[in-house]
Amino acid sequence: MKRKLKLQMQISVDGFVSTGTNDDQTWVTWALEDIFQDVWDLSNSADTILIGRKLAVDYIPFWQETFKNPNDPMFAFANQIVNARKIVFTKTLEKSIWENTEIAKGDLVDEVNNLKDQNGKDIVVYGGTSFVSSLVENNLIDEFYFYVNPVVLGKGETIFDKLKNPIKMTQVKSKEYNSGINLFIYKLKE
Amino acid sequence: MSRKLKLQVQISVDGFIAGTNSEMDWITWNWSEDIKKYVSELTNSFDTILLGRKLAEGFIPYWKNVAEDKNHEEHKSGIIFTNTPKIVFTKTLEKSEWENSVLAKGDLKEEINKLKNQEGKDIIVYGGANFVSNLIKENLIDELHLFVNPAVIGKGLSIFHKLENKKELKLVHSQAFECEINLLHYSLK
Repeated sequence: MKRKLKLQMQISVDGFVSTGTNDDQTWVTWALEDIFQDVWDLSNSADTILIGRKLAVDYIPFWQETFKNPNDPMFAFANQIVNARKIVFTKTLEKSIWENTEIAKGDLVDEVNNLKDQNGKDIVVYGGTSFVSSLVENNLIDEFYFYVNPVVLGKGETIFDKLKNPIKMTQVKSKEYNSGINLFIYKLKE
Repeated sequence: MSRKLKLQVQISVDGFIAGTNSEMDWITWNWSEDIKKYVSELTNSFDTILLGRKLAEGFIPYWKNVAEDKNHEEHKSGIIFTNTPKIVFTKTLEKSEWENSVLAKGDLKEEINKLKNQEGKDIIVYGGANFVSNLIKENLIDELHLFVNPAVIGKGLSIFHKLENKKELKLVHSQAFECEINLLHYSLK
């Protein structure tokens, strides 16, 4: 039984995950108290985080900084993320400059399948856009956790633009939150 | 209190209402009872259908045929769609060639606001993509009833791409139907 690769992302009703390079994410409904338990449960189901290099350079230092302050409301997440095994996918970095972080420089499909074959809890990926679109293109994501925000962006970045053919999915669960967010969980159709 | 313009449309998780060449093979057509009930209630709430000219040319004759075929499983819907007054928006047609259909050739905003100020039940629009994207751009739609299908299609026809700025929505209701389509019902602020 292989472990699964799970994607969690914030998405707009029109399917965008970012407004572009300088996305300030003001389009996202930040109602953490609303979705906390579900985000926490997903994060707890995994022990390995995949990150594209572009996101990693901000993401890893951000959580290391948050982890220094036990009073930060995000401390529990910071603890989890800092201590998780992180794999940064890169063609340019020579070696990891962060704790608990490895570099993957090989073929994407081989590297991810190799990780899925290892023992442990599941694997999770949160971004960034370009890295995730490569995972989607290569059919490597087993479960999708989309937080659908009550907004349309009109334009922006998508993780599905590299798809050659439609993907039909099976719905695992859907859930509405008081803040107007909907969580849709899908898995690839077998 | 003017009557509302509602959009009902099938949409993929990545926000398209049809493939680049209008493909609809990603849409779940095997509807469960709960979505049929929802659509039937929504259908009871309007007495006017707006259509872009391109969609009208397929939509009106199709449902007329269904209405004339007593054995068709959607016979009742055929009768409803054929008998409900329809407004076809066009710049090119000179006069309506269909029953229960009139043409609207004026400014989109003025025509819609005139319709909204008339007495009656609400107004529905189903497409097509270009017509609906103009309605969205001009902020003329009051409610979205989106049927999110369990599929991503990568590219296709969008109805939101003409927006200059992001638009916040208010979630009114959502529902997971048994056939794995999710309803997202939003009102526009």
